[in-house]
Amino acid sequence: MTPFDPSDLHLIGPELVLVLSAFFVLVLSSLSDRGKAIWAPGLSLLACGMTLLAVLSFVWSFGLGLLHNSLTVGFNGMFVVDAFSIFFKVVFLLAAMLTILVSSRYLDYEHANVGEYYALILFAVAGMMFMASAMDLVTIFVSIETMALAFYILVGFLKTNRKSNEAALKYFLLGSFSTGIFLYGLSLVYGTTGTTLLTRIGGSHARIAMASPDAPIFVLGVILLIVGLGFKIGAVPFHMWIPDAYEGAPTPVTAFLSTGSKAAAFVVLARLFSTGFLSIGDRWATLLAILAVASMTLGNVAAILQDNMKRMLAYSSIAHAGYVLLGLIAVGLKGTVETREYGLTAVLLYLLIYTFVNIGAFTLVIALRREQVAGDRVADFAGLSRRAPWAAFAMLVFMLSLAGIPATAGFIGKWFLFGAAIKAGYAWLAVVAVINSAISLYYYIRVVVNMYIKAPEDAERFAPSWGQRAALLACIVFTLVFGIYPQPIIAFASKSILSLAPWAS
Amino acid sequence: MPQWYVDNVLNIVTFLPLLGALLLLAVHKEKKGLIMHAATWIALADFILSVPLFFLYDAERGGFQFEQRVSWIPSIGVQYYIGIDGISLLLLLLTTFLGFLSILSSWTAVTERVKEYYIFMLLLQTGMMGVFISLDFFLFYIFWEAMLVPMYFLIGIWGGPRKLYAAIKFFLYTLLGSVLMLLGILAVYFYYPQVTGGGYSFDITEFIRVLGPLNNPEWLEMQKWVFLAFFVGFAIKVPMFPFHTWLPDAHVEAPTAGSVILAGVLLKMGTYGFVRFSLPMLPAATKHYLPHMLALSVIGILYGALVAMVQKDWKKLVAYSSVSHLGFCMLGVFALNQPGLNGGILQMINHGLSTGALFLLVGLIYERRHTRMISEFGGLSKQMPIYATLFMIITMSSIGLPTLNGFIGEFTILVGAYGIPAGYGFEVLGLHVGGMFWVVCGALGIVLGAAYMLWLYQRTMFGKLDNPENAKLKDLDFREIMTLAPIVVCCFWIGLYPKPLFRILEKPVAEIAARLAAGEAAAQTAEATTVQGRAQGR
Amino acid sequence: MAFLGWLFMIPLFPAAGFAINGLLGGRVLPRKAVGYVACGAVLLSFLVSLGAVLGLGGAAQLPAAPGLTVDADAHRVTQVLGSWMPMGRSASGEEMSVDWAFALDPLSAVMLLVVTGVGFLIHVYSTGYMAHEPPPAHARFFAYLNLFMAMMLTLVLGASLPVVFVGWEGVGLCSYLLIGFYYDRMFDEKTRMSCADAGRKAFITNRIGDVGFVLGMLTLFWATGTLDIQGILAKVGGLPTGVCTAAALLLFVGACGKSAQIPLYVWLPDAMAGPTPVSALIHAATMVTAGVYVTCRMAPLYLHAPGAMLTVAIVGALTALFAASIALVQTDIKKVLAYSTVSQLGYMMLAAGVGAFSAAAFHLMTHAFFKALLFLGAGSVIHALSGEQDIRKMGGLDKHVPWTHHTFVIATLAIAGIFPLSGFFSKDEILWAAFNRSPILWLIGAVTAGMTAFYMWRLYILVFRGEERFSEEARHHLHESPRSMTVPLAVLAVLAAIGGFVGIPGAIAWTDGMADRFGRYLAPVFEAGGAAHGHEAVHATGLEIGLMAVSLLIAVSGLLLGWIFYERRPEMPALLAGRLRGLYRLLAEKYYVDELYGKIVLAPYYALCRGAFLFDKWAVDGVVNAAGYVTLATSYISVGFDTYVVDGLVNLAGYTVRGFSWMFRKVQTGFVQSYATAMIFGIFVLVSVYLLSTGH
Repeated sequence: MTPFDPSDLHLIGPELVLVLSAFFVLVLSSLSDRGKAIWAPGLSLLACGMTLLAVLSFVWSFGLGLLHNSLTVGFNGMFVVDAFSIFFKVVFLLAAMLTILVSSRYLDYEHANVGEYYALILFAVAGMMFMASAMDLVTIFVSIETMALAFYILVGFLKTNRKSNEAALKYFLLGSFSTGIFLYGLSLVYGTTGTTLLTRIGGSHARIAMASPDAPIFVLGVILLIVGLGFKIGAVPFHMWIPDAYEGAPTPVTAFLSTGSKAAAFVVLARLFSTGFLSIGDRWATLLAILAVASMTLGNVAAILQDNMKRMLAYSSIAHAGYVLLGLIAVGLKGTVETREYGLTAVLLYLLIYTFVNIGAFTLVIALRREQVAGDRVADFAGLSRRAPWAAFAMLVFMLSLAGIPATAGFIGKWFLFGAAIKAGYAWLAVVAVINSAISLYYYIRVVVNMYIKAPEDAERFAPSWGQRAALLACIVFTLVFGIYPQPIIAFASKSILSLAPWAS
Repeated sequence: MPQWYVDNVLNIVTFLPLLGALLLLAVHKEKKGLIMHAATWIALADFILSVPLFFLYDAERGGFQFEQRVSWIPSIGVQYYIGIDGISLLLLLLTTFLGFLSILSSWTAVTERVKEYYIFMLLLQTGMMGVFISLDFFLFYIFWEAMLVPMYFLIGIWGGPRKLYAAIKFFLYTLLGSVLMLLGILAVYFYYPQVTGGGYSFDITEFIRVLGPLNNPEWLEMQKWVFLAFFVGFAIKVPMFPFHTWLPDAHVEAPTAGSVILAGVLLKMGTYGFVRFSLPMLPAATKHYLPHMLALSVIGILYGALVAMVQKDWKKLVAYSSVSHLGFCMLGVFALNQPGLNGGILQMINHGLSTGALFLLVGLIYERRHTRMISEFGGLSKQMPIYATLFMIITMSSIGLPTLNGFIGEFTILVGAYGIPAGYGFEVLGLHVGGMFWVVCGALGIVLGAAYMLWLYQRTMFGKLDNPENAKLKDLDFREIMTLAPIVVCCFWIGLYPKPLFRILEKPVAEIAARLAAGEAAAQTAEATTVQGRAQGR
Repeated sequence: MAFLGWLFMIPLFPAAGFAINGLLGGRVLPRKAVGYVACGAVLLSFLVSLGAVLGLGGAAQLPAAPGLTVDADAHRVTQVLGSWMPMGRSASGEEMSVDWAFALDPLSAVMLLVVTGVGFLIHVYSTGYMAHEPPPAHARFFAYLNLFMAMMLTLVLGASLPVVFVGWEGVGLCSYLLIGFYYDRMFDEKTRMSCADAGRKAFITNRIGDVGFVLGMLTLFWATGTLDIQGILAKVGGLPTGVCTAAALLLFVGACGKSAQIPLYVWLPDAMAGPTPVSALIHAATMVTAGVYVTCRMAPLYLHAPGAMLTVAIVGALTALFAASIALVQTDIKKVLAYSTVSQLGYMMLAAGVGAFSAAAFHLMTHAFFKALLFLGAGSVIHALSGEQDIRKMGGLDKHVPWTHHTFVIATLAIAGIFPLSGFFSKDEILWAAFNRSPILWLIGAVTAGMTAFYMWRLYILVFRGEERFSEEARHHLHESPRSMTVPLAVLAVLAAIGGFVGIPGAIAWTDGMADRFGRYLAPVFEAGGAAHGHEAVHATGLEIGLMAVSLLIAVSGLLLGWIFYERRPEMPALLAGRLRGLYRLLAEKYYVDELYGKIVLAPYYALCRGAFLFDKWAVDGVVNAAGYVTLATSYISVGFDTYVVDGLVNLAGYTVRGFSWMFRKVQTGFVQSYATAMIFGIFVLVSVYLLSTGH
């Protein structure tokens, strides 16, 4: 145990920037009179931007070194800055920026447009970024909690709104429940392996533990970790909170929750299982397979009946979590290096794409929010194609992309995930997945039917704020451009995972 | 022919409609006339631009021509690789031809949301042509599925009373097929590098060249699964019995132009898929499943004809007749010999022409009377002699009267089917049913075809003109005649002088037949070696 | 000579006529012009045919012109216009291809002249007969008629089976169109059959035959690798008998359809729904003989398939007898002639079946003359009586329509086989050939001949003799037909009278030069194919003359019987009908064959169709929809579960109008329990599954 080395601080530079600016926003907002926080969004956007630059500066400073995680480890190996973490930090920051962009108009309608909101978003992002870099079970736990706490508040941010409060309460209770489980699992693993450092666990301890008589305890620990994270990614049967939380939370928060926190949980899963527990991969792969099938099927099937957009997207996000698990399963199997890399690439790619597509979809739900109109029913989209052709077109693209129709980014993502399953020899899983994605089309297309075929309910002009327009534009451009020419993001993802590959080094 | 045109002809022809659609976006949606004419001219231009292909294609050389190959997504080996051989050439021309006619036919049929309508029609054109020119599996799949979206809208927005049901049924059913096909593609995609030791690729020609004759037992086993995956995708599109039930609904609800494109081109994508991929790439599996394929084909022929006989809805009758005709195509294709393949492919074209025309004719009546119930009509030939004449010609073409296109296709198919060796039939009562059996079934289909078509013609055109509604009907005007006349001309052309088409098909078909033979040989050697292996094992 | 090069023009003239009348007739062209175009087109092809046939005489000396191949000893000229269907190579690597090719040899020459000659006369006749039609219908009629000629000539000249098939189907189409010419009229009130129905019946029945034809073609194609008729016939020698028999029988199925043989004859009587000239041209003189023609064309094939030969002979004989018996009691003038046609076609088939192909062709020709004449005469009568067809409402017409009367008599005697009219020679040749094959066949033929004589004479008497039974207003416009109709009658009468002299049997020929010129003219066709005349093998002049006398006797007695029944003792028929009521009904109802087919073929077919549709709706589509419903149901269940377990208490509390805090207490307890259970449940599932999954 070497003492704390200050020079390690530069590794967490971006996080520091973010946290400090979060505090700054918090302080400012407490000074200024409440309800008027025109500057807060801009400021927090700026913060995110700066952080993004800081993150990218690593690429500049370390260059290819990032591809090899040993170079940039600090804090006694508890924290790492590698291409993998940088990829996700970028994703988180982009997600946060989009969320901030779409928030303010919505919060105005809710009379909750205050600085704290943005500060909390930034805290959440900070937590996520730590999760991305954490190389130690304890670090992971702490950063997860950092993120979670921020979200507990964000979900219940609309104090006067009963649904929002219920949602927050459920999320909080369930969250703490799962935290407990995660912590328990953590302790069991620590108890059996004698370390919390993923590198060590992965290096030899896991294998030793499996050989030792208390293997079952170790195994139980792993399972509990899976359960804890399964809750965060909303995999069935740990999904119960998702529909309520998503529906109750302020829509921008829902958007962030469904993309950012999900992605963050997947970072941890990926790192944990591709670094720490790889040696017993074939076993947890089986578990994940079951989770995947359950999530995909239940998520899609349940989404069919939803009349509330947010609820529908909630269930669909459960299904998408199931799809993403396919990539991890490919990692777990004692497949070739190629298969593992393919699987991880698929996970990264999909999370990146899903972030943009899903936030895009939510943006339209948000944009439909008007005085006295929640705008989150599927029926609220009726006749949108005649009220706002371009918005309708954007929604069409997002829906098709979520359904995985080609020429949209969503197809590329699904292509990789299904490919991973096939490559890993999990053909039956792939079959389940594709049948599910066919089913999913049914409820996505319902939105399209409303927009293009049903007559509009009211002729109210559809006027999103500039922030929302910007976010929308970003998402639609991303979805279409990378749907047609995905080469850049594929390269980005496939490079980023190399650092996460002890098997490669 | 300027060189730049020859070099880029496929891109020009394929993406001109897309460009046109983008231009139409700029037009204000109230300028209906302008939009209508613009779309028509674009489609016409596209057709005219595509015609030179027919003469530029070097039938002597055969193979894929007008190829273009650009690296697209190198990290997964995707290329923008296009090119056509005789088979895709004919289907491409059919697409531009019917595309133009169906757009021309929509002038009076579509009155609301005109802008979106023509935009979707043009997008559909690009999508379908893309399918036929793609030589890269990834590219192929993108077109194959993306094309569903405009079709969905055409049915869903401008369709009949049950349009929503029909549209979603069409979309989901075909999508389910294509995603399963996707898995087949992935399997091949991942297997290919293991064989070559090289990098990933979606190059269809490479797949065919390398994997087709490969006689490695693992692959021969895998072929069967891949074949099934492809089969689901293609069979639903064709549609083969029992995957056909989306078709009647889609046809009945779709607007006229939609039905024309659906029957004329969309269904051909399924048959094309079999010819282009399943046969040459998976010869062993093709042979393995041959009896089932043949059985489904003839069931389709007879079943479609029987069901068509009792339809009360004019359009539904034609829809079921499509099932029967496509059964013929499949019978020809799965005869796996040159006459059969030639006939099968020709019959795709013929069906596109005659059934397309039939849907146009139904549409013309529907525009006038707003009903398709056959019982509503009768004695129309007094009221609309020109209509009756054209309808008669098309009827004859669809029941395969010599000197018209239908006969050429059906006869060639039957010649091929007769050549199916007894070994590939079923065992019925201990004896192998070979060519003769399939031919008899097919020929029976011809009789039944005549039965329901003539019955339809008699109930609508003959008899007394007793319904006062029909006494008010107007005969076809110039534009309407012009939508049908070109098809009639083609019917006679193919019927009397199909030689140019046969010439264009000659080389590609010969190649496919050769590949099938090679694949079979490979499978047999593999079989032999494994047997030997067992023998030595003992 | 040059005309041989114009072979392909022969069908083109009528085709052009069809195009002109079809496009311009009725609107642009006046009625007269339509008639001229139609007749002119046919006349042209008649003249060209004449030239070609004359040129053929010297075909041996003819130098092979471009696109013209000459086979001297078979006396055949073939003209290849180009490749039609190059279908690619078969597995064994041989090129499978079909050409557009026409061939002229003595057999097709005879057909050619009959078709164009009789066809022309009937065209002329039609200009008079259809004079009262409205312009569009008038033009349509002649257009169809020309189209028919074009197709018939293609059929005759076709050098390869598919080309023949083009004509074969083409004439079928025209027959369909012309039978249904009055598409808005009822044909048979009793059975509620419209003219359109009759046409459809004809087309479908023929299609069934065509299936046989196609299968025959394919069999020969794969057996010999070619579809060129001569190519096939050259190779049949090498084929196993089984293949020959199969092919021959399949082709014969086709012939049964076209030439109205048992069991496919049912369409011909109903074909009388068409205008009478159509019945004369298509359903008596030309189209219906196509089956016989093709059978003769493929003579060598049949000779290699004895079994098939026998079948042909038996079917022909039975058809002859069967149809004749029905004709005995029919009361519709055209129905009588229709069944008589069926019976005569049976005769021709019988001839072919016993190997007397030239005799078949001979009878084909003479029959074309007198049967066309009979129909045209009948048409003239119907015309005169303004549409009356029931012979019980006729009688005593001889003085009113003298031309029609005289020509009709000649035709009647000719068909009855009275020496020296044409029918005598052809029929006798057939009977003689049949006798050499087997006396039973001869007997059937002879009896048929007797019946024929009887019913024809009955018809004649009921129409032209006795007291006038027709209505007053019929008498009112009673008139002899115009020139355009009577002249063709006269010409045909001459042909029917003297047509037989080209085929005087050797036995009674007073110079060898005269003996069987017809047979000798056709000889190259059949001898080249190795087919000898069935009956020249045996030569017993005495026997032949004896049989001739017998058949003549039979014919005369038939006439006599008819005379006694219907002229001397008009009450006898009714009496007899009363005695043999059962038999009479059986014949009058045509042996109930249509009803039978309705029961055993049509009813099951429709049932099958309906069944298939129901199956489609409920089974096939049912599965698809069921899948959807199942998904939906699952959705309800899972959502219900979520809602119930998760939200149930929350909502329940929400509806109660209690205080906020109270609600929360409720809620917390509520869902901590529910969630805890759910989570624990989840963990246990995972653990168990996991421990299962680690078997090692």
